[in-house]
Amino acid sequence: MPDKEINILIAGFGGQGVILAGNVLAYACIDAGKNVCAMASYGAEVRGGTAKALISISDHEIDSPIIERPNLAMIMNAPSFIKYIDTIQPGSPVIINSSLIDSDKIPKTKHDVVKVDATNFAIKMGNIKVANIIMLGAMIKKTHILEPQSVVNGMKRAFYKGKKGLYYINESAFHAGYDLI
Amino acid sequence: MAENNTGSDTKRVLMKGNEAVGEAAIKAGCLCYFAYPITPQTETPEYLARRMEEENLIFLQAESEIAAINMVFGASAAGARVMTSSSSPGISLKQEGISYIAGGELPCVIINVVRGGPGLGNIEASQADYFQSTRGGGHGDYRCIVLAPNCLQECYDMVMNAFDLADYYRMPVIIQSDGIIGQLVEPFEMHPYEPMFEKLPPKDWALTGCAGRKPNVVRTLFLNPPNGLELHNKKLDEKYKKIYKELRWAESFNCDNADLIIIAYGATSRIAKSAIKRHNNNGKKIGLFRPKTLWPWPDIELIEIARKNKGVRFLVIEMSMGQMLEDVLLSLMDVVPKKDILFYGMGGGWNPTPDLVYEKISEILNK
Repeated sequence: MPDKEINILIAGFGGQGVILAGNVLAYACIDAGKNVCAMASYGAEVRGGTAKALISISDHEIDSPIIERPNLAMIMNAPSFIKYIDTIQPGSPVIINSSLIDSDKIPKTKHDVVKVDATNFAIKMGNIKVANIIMLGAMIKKTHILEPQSVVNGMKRAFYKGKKGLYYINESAFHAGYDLI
Repeated sequence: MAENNTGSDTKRVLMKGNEAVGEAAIKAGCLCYFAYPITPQTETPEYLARRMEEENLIFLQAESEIAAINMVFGASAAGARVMTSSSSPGISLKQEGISYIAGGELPCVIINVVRGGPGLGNIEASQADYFQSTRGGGHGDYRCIVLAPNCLQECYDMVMNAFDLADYYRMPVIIQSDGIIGQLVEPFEMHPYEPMFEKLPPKDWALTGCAGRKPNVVRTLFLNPPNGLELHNKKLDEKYKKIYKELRWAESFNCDNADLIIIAYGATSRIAKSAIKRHNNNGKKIGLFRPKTLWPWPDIELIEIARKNKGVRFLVIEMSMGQMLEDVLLSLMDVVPKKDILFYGMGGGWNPTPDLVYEKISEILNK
């Protein structure tokens, strides 16, 4: 991983697992021995509304928990793309969920846009909810910010308290996303 | 979000700030927790609802904030380690109870995850309860010790300290968190409870049933003539003076030979530090002074820094329209001209960003 701080925006509508994806990343950072700081939207968000998570990853001390200009993004739906794209540093990788974002209809930007047909692929896998982890797999493949094994270990911790079955389908989703691009 | 990381071993765990304070309370021997939900602190009761039952401790979601603080009053009078938490409007409701607890010289821990105000305000992070926490808040001449963490490690450590300080000095201790620190997820070391004092005074004043001894009375009403209440206030005042001597916590960063020193606490201090480091990288001499106790305020520590840096200017940054600013002005009144103490703040639940602080510093340096 490069020396500079990675500031990641994950956005989508409430229910798409935006915050969970951020938590998985945070756990993965613990596994990798990196510093991490995550802030998610809270309070007035409801299913169907917009939700976002901001995660800083660094080998050094992280000062500000407030991220202004993310240099990596994972965007799960079209309204979030329109809302946040201008906040992301030009040239940064932006992983978009092309199942819900029609790339012909969104404005051209100076970002390195990577299309992942995540929601459709999640439906094929039998659980629409794992679209977030498919996206995460693609993001890790594209950017190499963390070793895939760290993310898998992070998922073990994130899904520990829930049903074990959730862990297995999410692990498959992660590898599927990793292989999609 | 807390996973199964509640074991007793020291290890790096991941939690929300609001969860870390809950776990710290359990580790510090908190027997009872009473609270009512409010954003952005609800993760604390959510977390403790599960964990206190696991540990066979007492968790009770009260019917209101007022009920919760009076349950704290009762449990504390009975000698228990007890905690409550809320956010700004809820803390306002608790003020009558806090005044009684302070008057009765009872120990307790109160967490305020500050949000925007006044009134119902909003749910965003704020520091606008500084006056409320440090100036009393409720009626009467009293103080609370106020600790201000700026990271999750401090959330965890300071809650443990808070229980010890409350018992040692017999008074309420407030943890001044905010919507950013409370909602923040970052790793910290979950070490076992480390007592601050070798020995705490025995709670021989507690109402534990008086069979075989004289009854104890916890009193907030002093009608004994001719000047019972005055004497009680004098006693409290002596205690507060002792605390001022013994407990002023602050941290400084790059203050030696600085041209400008930022003064900030809590989440704001971290936002400021990002901007300061960017200026430092460009060769600018900018420092940071961060009070960790908001009461007592570390004035002597700040004065020392001002004396060492002749001609230095100060910039106070807060998520309020200028509350800690008053303590800075009072501390430096004999040392630094008033015109050299500047302020930058945002109210209504808006936080400054590293970019905005960076620009503000540039603007000051270019003047």
